Amino acid sequence: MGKIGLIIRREYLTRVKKKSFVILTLLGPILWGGLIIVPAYLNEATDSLKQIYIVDQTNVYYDIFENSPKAHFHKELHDAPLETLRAMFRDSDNVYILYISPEVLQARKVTVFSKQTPNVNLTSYISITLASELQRDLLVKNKIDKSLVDEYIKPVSVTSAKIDSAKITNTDKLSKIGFGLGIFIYVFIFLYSSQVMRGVIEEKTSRVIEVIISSVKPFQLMMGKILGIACVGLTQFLLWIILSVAVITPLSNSFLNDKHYKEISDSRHLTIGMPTSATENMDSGETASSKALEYFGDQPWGLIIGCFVFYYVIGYLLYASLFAAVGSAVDSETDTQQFMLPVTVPLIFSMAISGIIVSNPDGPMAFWFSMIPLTSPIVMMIRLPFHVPAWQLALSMGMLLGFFVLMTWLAGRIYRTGILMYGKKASWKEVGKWLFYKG
Amino acid sequence: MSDLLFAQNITKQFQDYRALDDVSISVPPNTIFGLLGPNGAGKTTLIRIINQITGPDSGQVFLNGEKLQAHHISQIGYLPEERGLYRKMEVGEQALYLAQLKGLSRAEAMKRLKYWFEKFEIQSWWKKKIEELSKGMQQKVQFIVTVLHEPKLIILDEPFSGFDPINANMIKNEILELKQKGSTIIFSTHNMGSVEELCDHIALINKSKKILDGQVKEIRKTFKTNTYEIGFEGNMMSFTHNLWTGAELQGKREDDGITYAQIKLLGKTTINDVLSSVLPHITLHGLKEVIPSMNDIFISCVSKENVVLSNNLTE
Repeated sequence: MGKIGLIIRREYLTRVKKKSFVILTLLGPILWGGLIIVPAYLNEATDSLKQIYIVDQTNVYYDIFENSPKAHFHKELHDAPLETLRAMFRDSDNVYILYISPEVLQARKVTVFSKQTPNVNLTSYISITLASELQRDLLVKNKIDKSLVDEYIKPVSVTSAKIDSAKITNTDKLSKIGFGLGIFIYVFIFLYSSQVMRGVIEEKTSRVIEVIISSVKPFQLMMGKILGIACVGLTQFLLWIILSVAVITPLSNSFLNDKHYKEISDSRHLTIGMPTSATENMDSGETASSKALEYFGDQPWGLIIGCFVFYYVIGYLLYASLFAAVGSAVDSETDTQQFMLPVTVPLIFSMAISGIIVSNPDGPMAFWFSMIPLTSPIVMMIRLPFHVPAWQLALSMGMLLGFFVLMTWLAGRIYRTGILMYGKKASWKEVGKWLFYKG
Repeated sequence: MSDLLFAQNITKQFQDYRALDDVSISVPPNTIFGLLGPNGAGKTTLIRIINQITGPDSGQVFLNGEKLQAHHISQIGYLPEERGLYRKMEVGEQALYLAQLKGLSRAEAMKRLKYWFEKFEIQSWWKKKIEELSKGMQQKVQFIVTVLHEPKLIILDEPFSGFDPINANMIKNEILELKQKGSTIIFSTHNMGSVEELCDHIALINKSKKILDGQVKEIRKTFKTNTYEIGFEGNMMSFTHNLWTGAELQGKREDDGITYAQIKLLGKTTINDVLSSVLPHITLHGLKEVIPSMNDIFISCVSKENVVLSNNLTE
C-alpha cells in the first residue's frame, strides 16, 4: 500500500470506528424518517374524529353530507330543537352542531356551534357540499331538467401542462430534482470539508504533524486526508440511503399508504367536495416507489448523474483543500472565523440564490453563477434539469477543473507552511507570504 | 567522504529573517552529535532540512555520501521537539501506522513493536488510547516509534524534556545502546550535562551561524584556562602569602574544614611550582585541574558572540 493509501486508510478507519459516526449514521434515517412521520402523526393525533350533529329546519339537506374517517355526521337528531343540542354538548370536545335555518336557500348561510373552532377542512366541505346542493335545487326550482342539472354542476378537475415541450412538462418537478441534488452537494461539502479542517487542526494542536511529515510530503498528507474523509462521507450517505429505505419503505407501505395517503385523498374529498366515486384515480392505490418512478422517469438521467458525480467530486475536493488550508493557518477552531468567511460565503450564497435560479434557470444570474467555479457545483446542478446548453456545461466544468487545480496547488503551499507554524496567529498578509516560501 | 551526514553551506531565509546562514556540519558515523544553541538559533530549521520537511535556499545535504533524496526518509528517525501523537488513536494501531509510513511492512512493524513493548514492559498499553496515557508514557511510545524502523540516523530534538529522572535515564541508556548497535545520533538539547555525558561531537549555532564545532574533549581542552583546584587543611593566610607570584587566586570555598582554592597559573608557571611553594604550609587533600563544563563554554561563546554583535551594531 502506498503512503497516500495508508493515510486514506487511517483517516477512514479512525472516523468510521468512532461512536459518533455510528450514532449519526443510525440517527440520520430516524431523523429523516421522523421529518416525514412526525408531522403526519401529529396531524393524525390532533385531527381526531369530529362528531357533527345536524339540525336541519328545512328537513331537506341533512342527508347530503357523507361520513369520512375524520368526520361523522349524525342525522338522527336533525329535527331536534337547536337549544336542546346546544345544552347537551356544551362541554363536549370534538362535537359540532351544524344548524341549517329554514331560510338557507335565500340567506345562503349556515352556522356551526362548537366548543372548538371548526377547521377549514370541515367548513369548506360543508360550504361546497351545500352550495352545489342549493344550486341544484335552485335550478330544479327554475324548471331545468334534472338530468341536465347533474350535468351542469359536475365538478371540474384541474391539471397543469407546459406550453412548449411535449417531453418535459412539470417545472415544479424539475426544480425539485435540481434543488435536491444542489442541497446534497451543499450538505456534503459543508459536513465533510469542515471535518477536513478539524482533522488538520487536530494534527497541528496535537503536534503529531511533524512526525508525519518527516515521513510523507505535506501534500500527500493533505490529499490523503481529503480523500479518506470523502470515503467516510460516501459511506455515511450510502448507509443513510440504505437505512432510510429500510425505515421508510415499510412505513410508507403500512402507515403512509394506508393512512396518510387515504387521509390526503379524504381531505381532498373533504375540501373539493367530490363524490367518493370520483377519487378512485387518486394516489391511494399506488405505492410510493412506482409513483416516484413515474414522477422522475422522463429525465435525462445519464447526463444528470454524470454531471452530479463530476460537480460533487470536484466541488468537494476544491472546498476541502481550501478548508484544509484554513485549518493549517490557525491554532484552534475558534481562530478559524476570519479565514472561514470567504470560503463559506460562495457556498451559502449559491444556496441563497437557488430560488432565483429555479424561477429563471436561463437568466443572467443563473448563467454567471453556474460559470464561477466556487458557486458552479451547486448552481449548475440546480440548472441542469432545465436543459443547459452543452457549451455552457463544458465551459463551467472546464473552469471548475482549472480552478480546482490552481486552488489545490495554492492550498497545498499554504498548508505546507501553516502546519509548522505554532502559536502564531496568522494574518492574511502572513498567509500570503507563505505562498512564496521555497519548499 | 566518511561522514554519515554532511550538511554543506546551508542557508535558509524566511522572508525578512535568515534562519540559517552558511552553516555546515559533518557527523561521523556511529557517534552522538550534539546540536547546541540558544532558542531561535536555527537548530530546528536545520533539523527540518535534514528531515526534508523543508528545503534549503542554498547548500546541500549528503547522507552516506549520497545527496539527500526522498527514499532516505526510511533511514532517518526523527523525534521532534514539538511532539505528539493522535490523541484518540490506540497506542498499538498508531505505532503500526507511523512505522508503515516509514516504510515497514505491517507484519515486520508488528514483530518489532512486540520486542520494544516487552522491553519497556508496556504491553498492556497496546489497546489504550494515547489520551489515556501520562505525558511520560506518551514520550516512551513516541521514542519507540522514532527508532522502530532501525534508522541509520536518529535525530532527537530535546529528547529528555517531559521525562522524570528515571525515565530520562532509561532513554539515555537506550541512546547509548543504539549507538553501540551502530546508529548515529544527532541530538539537540539545552541540557549541557547530558551533552558532556553523551556527545562525542558538537556544533554550536547562534544567531543562524555556526560558531563552534568539534569533538567534545578537544573543545573542552581548548577552553581550558590553566586553572587548578587545591584542597587543603591549614591557614588560608599563609597559603595565599606563600603562593608563587606566577599564580593567581581565583576563588575559594570551604567544606567540612577543608579549603578549596582555585588557582590560575600565569605565564610559564607549572602546578608543581605552586605546590612546592605552598606544601610546607598546608596539609594537601586533593588536586584537580579545572576543565570548563560545556555549560560554561556555551554561555561564554554565546554571550561573547552577542557582545560582538551588539558592538558591531553600535559602531
